[in-house]
Amino acid sequence: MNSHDTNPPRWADAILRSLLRPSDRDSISGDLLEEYREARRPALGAFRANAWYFKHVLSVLWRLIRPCALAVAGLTVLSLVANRWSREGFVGYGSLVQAPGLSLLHALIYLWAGYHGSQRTRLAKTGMLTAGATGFVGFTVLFSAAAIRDPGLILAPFSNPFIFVILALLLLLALSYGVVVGAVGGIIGRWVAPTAPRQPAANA
Amino acid sequence: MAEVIGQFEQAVLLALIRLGKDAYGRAILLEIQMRLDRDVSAGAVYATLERLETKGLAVSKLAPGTAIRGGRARRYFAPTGIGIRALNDAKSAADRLWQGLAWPLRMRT
Repeated sequence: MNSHDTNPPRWADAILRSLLRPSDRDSISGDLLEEYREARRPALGAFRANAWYFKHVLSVLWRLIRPCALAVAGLTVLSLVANRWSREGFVGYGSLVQAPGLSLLHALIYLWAGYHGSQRTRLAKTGMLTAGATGFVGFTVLFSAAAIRDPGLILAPFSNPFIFVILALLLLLALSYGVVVGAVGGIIGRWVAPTAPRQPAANA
Repeated sequence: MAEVIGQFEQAVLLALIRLGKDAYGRAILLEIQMRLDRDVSAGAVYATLERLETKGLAVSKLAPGTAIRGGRARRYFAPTGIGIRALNDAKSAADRLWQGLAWPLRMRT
């Protein structure tokens, strides 16, 4: 097979392109595609080359969501501290359901993530992606913090597989909440002009 | 006094100077990985390039893509005069900090 015909997974390329500013969409995805075809795929094989590609997609996603992810991580830690003093704490503040990641404060962060993502990329769908990813970070931080406080939690799902189902449901709730609120932020951000658009560059 | 730049910004600007007219995203990423002798994420490099452009330390222009990149355009970067001055200032500051010290440093017994 000619190296020109090999491609990274189409979904990974689509995610990458949706995370980039319009002015960078072709150039950055082209750089990674060139490295993938010319060096990584021939040297590493399909599986490891795809993993390499996806790792760089995640690094671009992380750069985009970092402020929101740090905010949601901070909120999660604060909620754990607050829960020591009050029964409700920040997790439950304004929640319709008593589940992590569903408070009004979380909604504000997801709204910000959605707005920021779509305002930068000019794509409303990016808002859902960035807010969903932010929700995933928040859930992971919460589970990690809970596991540090009670190490038995890590092994609990293996002794009682039903806990896997509960965790998956909680994760699904947090992600869905993030995606829905992020969609609203994304629609708003899509119609707001970018803060610092790159000047149209002349082709060489 | 020019813009104060961090270590990674220096690495990226120096890569632009070393690569000259061949300084586009992929080449910059590989050059930095080689010089720092570690894996560097694409996200970090592109975010730094964007920041350098915003600060006026680098400029970019698009060029047509090649077949191996599926025809996608290449973006070439170059340091500006302000960028070069910032690098010179960073080097001078580091030299002043090291002045009078024997390198490599040794633990006092």
